Amino acid sequence: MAHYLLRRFCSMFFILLCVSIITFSLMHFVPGDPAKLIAEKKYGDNVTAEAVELVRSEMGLDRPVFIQYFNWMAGILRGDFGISSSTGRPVWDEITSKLPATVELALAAMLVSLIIAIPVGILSAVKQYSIMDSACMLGAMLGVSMPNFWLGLLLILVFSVNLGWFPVYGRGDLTQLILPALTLGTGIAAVTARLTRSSILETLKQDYIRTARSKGLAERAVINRHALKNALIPVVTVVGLQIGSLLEGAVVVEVIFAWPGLGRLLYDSIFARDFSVIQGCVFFIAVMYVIVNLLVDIIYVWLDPRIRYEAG
Amino acid sequence: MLKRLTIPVLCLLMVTGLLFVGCATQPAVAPEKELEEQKPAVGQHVIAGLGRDPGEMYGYGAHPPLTRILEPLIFQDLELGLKPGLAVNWEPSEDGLTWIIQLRENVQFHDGSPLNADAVINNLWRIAEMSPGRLGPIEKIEALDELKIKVTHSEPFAPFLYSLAWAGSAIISPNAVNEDGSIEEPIGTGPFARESWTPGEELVMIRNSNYWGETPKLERVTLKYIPDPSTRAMALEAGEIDMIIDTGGVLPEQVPTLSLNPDIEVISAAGAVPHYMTLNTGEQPFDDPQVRQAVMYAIDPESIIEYALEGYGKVMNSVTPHSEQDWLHPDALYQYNNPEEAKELLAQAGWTDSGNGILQKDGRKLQAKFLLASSLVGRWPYSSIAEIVQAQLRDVGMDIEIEVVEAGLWSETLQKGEANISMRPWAGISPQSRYHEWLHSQGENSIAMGIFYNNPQIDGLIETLLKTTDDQRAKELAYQIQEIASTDVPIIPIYDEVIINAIRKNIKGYELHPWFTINWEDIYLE
Repeated sequence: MAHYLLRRFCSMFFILLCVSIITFSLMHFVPGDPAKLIAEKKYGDNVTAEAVELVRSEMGLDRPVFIQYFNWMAGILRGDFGISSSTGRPVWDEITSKLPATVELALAAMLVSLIIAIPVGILSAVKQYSIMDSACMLGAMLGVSMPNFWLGLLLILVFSVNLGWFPVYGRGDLTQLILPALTLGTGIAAVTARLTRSSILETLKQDYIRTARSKGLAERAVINRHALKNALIPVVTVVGLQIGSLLEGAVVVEVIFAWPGLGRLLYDSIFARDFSVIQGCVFFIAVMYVIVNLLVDIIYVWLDPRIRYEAG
Repeated sequence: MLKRLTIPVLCLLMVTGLLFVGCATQPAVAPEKELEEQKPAVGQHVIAGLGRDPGEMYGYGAHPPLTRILEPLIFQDLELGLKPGLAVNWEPSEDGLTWIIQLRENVQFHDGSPLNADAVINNLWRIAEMSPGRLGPIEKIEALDELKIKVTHSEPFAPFLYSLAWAGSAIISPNAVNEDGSIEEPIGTGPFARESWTPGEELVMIRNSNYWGETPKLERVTLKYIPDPSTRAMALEAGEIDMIIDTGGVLPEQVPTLSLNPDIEVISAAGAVPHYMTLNTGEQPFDDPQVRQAVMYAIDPESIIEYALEGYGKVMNSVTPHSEQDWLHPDALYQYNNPEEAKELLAQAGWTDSGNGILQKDGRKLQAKFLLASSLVGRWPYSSIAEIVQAQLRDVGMDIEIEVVEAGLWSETLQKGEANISMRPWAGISPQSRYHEWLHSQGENSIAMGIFYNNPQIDGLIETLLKTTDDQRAKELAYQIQEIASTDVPIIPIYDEVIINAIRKNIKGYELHPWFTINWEDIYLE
């Protein structure tokens, strides 16, 4: 187990190093002079050549690229992600101020997803080839096919404007969380439901299940006590990965619901060409994704003793 | 196995619960605000939604004028006429080199410091350094007394008053300006002061009880950044916001639905934001004036307004927009919607049919690239407009390729001359500077949009116009400039924007300004 974890930490470090190089390089590959773009934001469109060179010098953009990269990484390791050219605030403050909203929405969406997906997946597997199974899988296909923005706007129209049950936009109390969580959760529930179904069907074919049945156990006991816990192991992995992708910010849903999360921050900074924020967000999201993946791997190893013995 | 899962599941539930509690509660408020919330509610509070962050300051210290937190020396009324703002009087010298400006008395900034000559001089130098040339060739600025200043130019600068009325020339408390010229908080003199700003979410403004003008009826105004236009409209319908403001606040296609709501009033008015189509006159095929004229004749802006803008726009027949009527030359108008004339001009220019409907000359097809910026396409229906133009030019034998790229690439490509047609809006600061920006060989947009138009005659006229303070003479020069522009066609004005906003019917006093600035001091809830 320790050996396995050490290998995972090393690969995590290597991945983050590659991500940092790519993220940093973005600013230099994007068309346009970054110094001019930053100067225009600071001084206005009518910026002089002298002002551009001043910005270039102040921000170290006149130094060799690899020096700029090392300075940037040194800043990142100190928690200094630079300053937002849109707000003038530290990028770290911008990111951390939006993070709670993203975590809140991600966890709520995941909860919605699991509440829908696990029972649907189990039901579908247990009643394979029945009308229930077809209905569940059709629902899953609809969930995957429906665009987030369409579903979000539809939910707002029905439940906020027409019925007045929930607020239209923004973040505050729990009522404002429900529609965005439903919008986001429905899409990923479809994937989880299908995976749960196929995983349970696969598990039900195992010899130990046949043994349990031949011992005279009721089907419910066979499913709940023997099949379910093993069938959910791959689901845990996928759910973990989904949390990672949710944490990167569900951009479309955050824009539709004016939810002030990381996705919105990234969206706004791209349009504003706020390079510091874009770089900071992309790197931060990559770090979160890698950490979540690592946690998922650890939980996976911990849950399944077979993997633990192999990894050990 | 189940036991193994119990503890981690419990931990996860605890963490989730803590996060919900922690995240769902409002952030800690400052003690003063807590006290205020305990008081009985007094005054009125309006919530407005818009599609951009209302608190973001532009590089030159300008705050979106629709907040009215900052005010300039000179206001522009609904007809864009110049009116006293923080300055009550201004007198040019006979030679046009100096201006004596009398400031309004008993005006305080939101931080309590007084508006005086020193504060204004600080601001004018700051603006002159941040935006060189914007206020003209300033030689010196002197304080004649506590409330009077004298601005001396090295040569006459006719657009000076318009430059003082520009949003970027708003007067900010010197205490709010850092040593490097940056500004973190907009401390102005307006009817409302900034109470709080949550970037990317909202700006809360509180009544300035010491406002020099009419005391606002509203106690508080919250401007909510709601990026999606459909969400904005639904928030208004649900009553969660009272107004949708700003240019692009309400889209034309939303008007029928909102108009059906008995509690909502849709307001539209001509804006001062003209939209121009530009041609690269430095490269084939638009280096030939006859081909440019053919494009003008081939295009039908009426159909563009009808199909791409749902009728919400006004055809522009001149580089001079409708908001600058006094400068408009009635006999030097662009001629549109005459495809036969376009074909005739192209034939005269030597373009012949290659057999598939596309003209050719000397083995070269008549084709052009129409390049658009994604950021502009997101705010205006430029894609639809480009498609209509593409179809109209196809009818006269021109093949147009449309491409939408990121703003940085767009700008770079245009300036390198690697695109032939583009489009952008441009509010402009003054009628005179507009001609310079678009038609002068060194004009800001002439360079930025890759127009490459180099006409010494028009350059000379524009340079003279910028120094001409006599209205009659200025008008004559402007007319000559428009005569050249309408025949040489380096750019093609397409439409003047119509701003569409919407308010709930209990909102009273709101007037839609062409530059979408808001008269918050007059607004109240019935």
